[in-house]
Amino acid sequence: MNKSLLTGAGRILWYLFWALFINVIYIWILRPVVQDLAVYGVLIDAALIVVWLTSIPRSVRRPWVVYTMVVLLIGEGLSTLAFGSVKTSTLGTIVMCVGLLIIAGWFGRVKLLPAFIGVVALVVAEMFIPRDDWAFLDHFKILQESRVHLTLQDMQEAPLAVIHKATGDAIITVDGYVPSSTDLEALAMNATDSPDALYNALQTANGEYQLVELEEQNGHLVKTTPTAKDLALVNPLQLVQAFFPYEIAHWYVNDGQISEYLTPYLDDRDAVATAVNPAAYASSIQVVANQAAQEEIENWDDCLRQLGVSPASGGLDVENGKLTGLDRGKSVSVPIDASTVVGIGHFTSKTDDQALLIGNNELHVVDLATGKVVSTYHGTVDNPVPNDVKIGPLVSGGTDAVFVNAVPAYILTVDSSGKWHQVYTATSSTFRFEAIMPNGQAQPEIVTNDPSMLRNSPTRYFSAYHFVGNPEGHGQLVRDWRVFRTNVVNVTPLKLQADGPEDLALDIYGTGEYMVIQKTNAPLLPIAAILLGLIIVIGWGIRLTRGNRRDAQ
Amino acid sequence: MKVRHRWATSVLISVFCGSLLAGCAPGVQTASIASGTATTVTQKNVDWTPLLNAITKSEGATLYRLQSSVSIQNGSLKTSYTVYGTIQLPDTINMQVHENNFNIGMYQQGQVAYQEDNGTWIKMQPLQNLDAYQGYADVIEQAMKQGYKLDEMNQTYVMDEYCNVYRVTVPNGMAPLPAFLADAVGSSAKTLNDTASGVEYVFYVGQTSGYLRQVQTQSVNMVNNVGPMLTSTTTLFSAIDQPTVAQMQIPSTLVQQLERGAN
Repeated sequence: MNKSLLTGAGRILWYLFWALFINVIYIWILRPVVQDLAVYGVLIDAALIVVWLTSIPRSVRRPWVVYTMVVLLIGEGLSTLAFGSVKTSTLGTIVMCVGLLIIAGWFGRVKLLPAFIGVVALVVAEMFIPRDDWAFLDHFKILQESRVHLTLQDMQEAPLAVIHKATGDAIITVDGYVPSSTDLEALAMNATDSPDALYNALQTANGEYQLVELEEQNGHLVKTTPTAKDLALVNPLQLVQAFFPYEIAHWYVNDGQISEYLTPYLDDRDAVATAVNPAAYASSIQVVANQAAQEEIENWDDCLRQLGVSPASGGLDVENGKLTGLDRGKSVSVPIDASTVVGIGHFTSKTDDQALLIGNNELHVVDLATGKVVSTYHGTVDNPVPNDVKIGPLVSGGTDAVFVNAVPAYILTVDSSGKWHQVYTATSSTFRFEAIMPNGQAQPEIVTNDPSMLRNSPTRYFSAYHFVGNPEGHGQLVRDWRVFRTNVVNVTPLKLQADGPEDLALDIYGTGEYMVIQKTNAPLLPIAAILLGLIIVIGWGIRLTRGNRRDAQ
Repeated sequence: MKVRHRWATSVLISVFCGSLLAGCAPGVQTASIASGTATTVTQKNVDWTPLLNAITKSEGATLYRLQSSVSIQNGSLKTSYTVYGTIQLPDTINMQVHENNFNIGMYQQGQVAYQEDNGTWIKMQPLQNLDAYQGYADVIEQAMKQGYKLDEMNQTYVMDEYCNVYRVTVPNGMAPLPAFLADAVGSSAKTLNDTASGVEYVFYVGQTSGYLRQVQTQSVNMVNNVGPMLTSTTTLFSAIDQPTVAQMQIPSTLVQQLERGAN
């Protein structure tokens, strides 16, 4: 066969399509099959590869297989380079692409012009969204993908503190910056208030953090400097979770905005004194954490005072043994022994507004109309209640269940008489509940991070389930979808517009990358699978009509 | 023949390429401290004597290596505090502490004590009490005296020997706090008890050596405005009274710094 299968513009388009399509297939099908099914997945992939190989006409087999491998390699390389500095990633991209193209042209007899255009398309696509994050695209629209600058030694992911404003939700997070020498000089000269002040100030020479706000403007999420009014809505302890209580954030007001730097909380002598008393670790750290939390709050409130505002969470709070705040414009004041408020929901009744509070290894349901504690759940050492609790209904329109991220995680419901039922316990110790998303269907999606059932690996993937069973007895979780993306942390539901749909904000651990995603229901994964099937069938067709005739000669 | 050969090659290459994916790679992450963990209770309400004998014997040891890790779950994130060092009673210690990402070094012999920050050694006040077993002894004695029930768990291999495993849950605050926290707010045994779950101690007693080799704890500790945090700790004792293994040495960087004349 001397004539090529495709010529000119058609060939270029085909190369361009394949560069993107095969990477999508890799991220959506080839890799997930292995990640979920372990060695069976490897066998499935091997079978798929063999079937695909049989569909390539012999005359183009070598260049086509080589081109496929080159675009997969470049796809992988680019997603690794995405988190380097601009200089390294640019240089790395050029060296990698040019090198692989030369090899492909030389040994694989790949047509260079269309291959080059295919590679460029891939580079452009990955500039928008790194390939590892394409995993989200079969179930989500990525509204925003960006990153803040973090020194990974300080924190492995950006804090996401959501604030509720009248116009919609916004995120307060931190962004690294290196102060100019004049700024630093001014800072150093003013460091007078404690013996460590100068040391602390000059420590920031290599970088510190500024508080930034991510808010919706004309359909885009933009990074702005938060106003004092917005900062007053922040719970400062949400900004320090990644290192609390061992390190402490020092906040200070500079030029009308809040900046922070981190120092260890215990001095060296105290840290070692704690270390040589292992029997008391739990109590020591508890006392230290209480002190650190107190200092962080005082520090934060002091900064707010300097900005001329006072803290206003806008919701319910526990203060001095009392639940206080506003619910539907009515003020609430209920004496209770608890530390934090999880949220407002309907637990024992579908109509009454009830708050869920976390106490000392306990959960309290407080009726906001009557101001009474309706029911209390007591955790045990083996089945504890940590401060990582989500609420949401198991069935649309039903009462809210409580999703407790202990080890293992479990789901609680409470019936109208106030009796608690543990309706589900996770089978894996690393299973985590992230959020409960209403999706307009009978069963809300329970978004989780959990590992493969088959693989002996704790690697977790971003997934969703719905509950099947008796909400006052026992039930099972049935998987709705799984996004094969690991390292998804800080999953936070938010409404960027007050009357808009509920989106999810999340961080990718260890990168400073954050995303806001929105659920879509387009069947993209089946479409991609059908397309791959069609391509293989058409390949067989071409071989039968053209390729084999040549083979027979 | 040739065609069949090519077929075999392509199948082999496919399997090989497939296996490069994550599925066949060794997946299980090793824990930060490699040690066994007992999982099942084999007998309830057992005699305290073997555990008491072990802690008495351990209290007699004067040289050992200490390795600890503390993990706290706060919301969706975990933070850690790890310790590695050698203790020679009554007053010599060489220790590294990692608080999340800050590293601290400390060396003490008698009245001489130095701490290390960012590669520089600085003189400090020596620590008074270096006995890492003492807190456990207090917990075991008090728990027994106050009638807490001791459970036996499945025997478990820890580091280099099989251990008998015992478990008891006692109120938080039974172990005395380090001196610097004694007067801190919320540090009284009563407050600690009121603001935390019980602490579940799991003791591992070496079958050959007779020493307490490992202790794990689980608890839920309440922090104001933060909520209850899940706290789990693991502490390992090794090279107990084996001077050839756990050698106490002055850190070489400290020697170099002092020889240069920098104090």
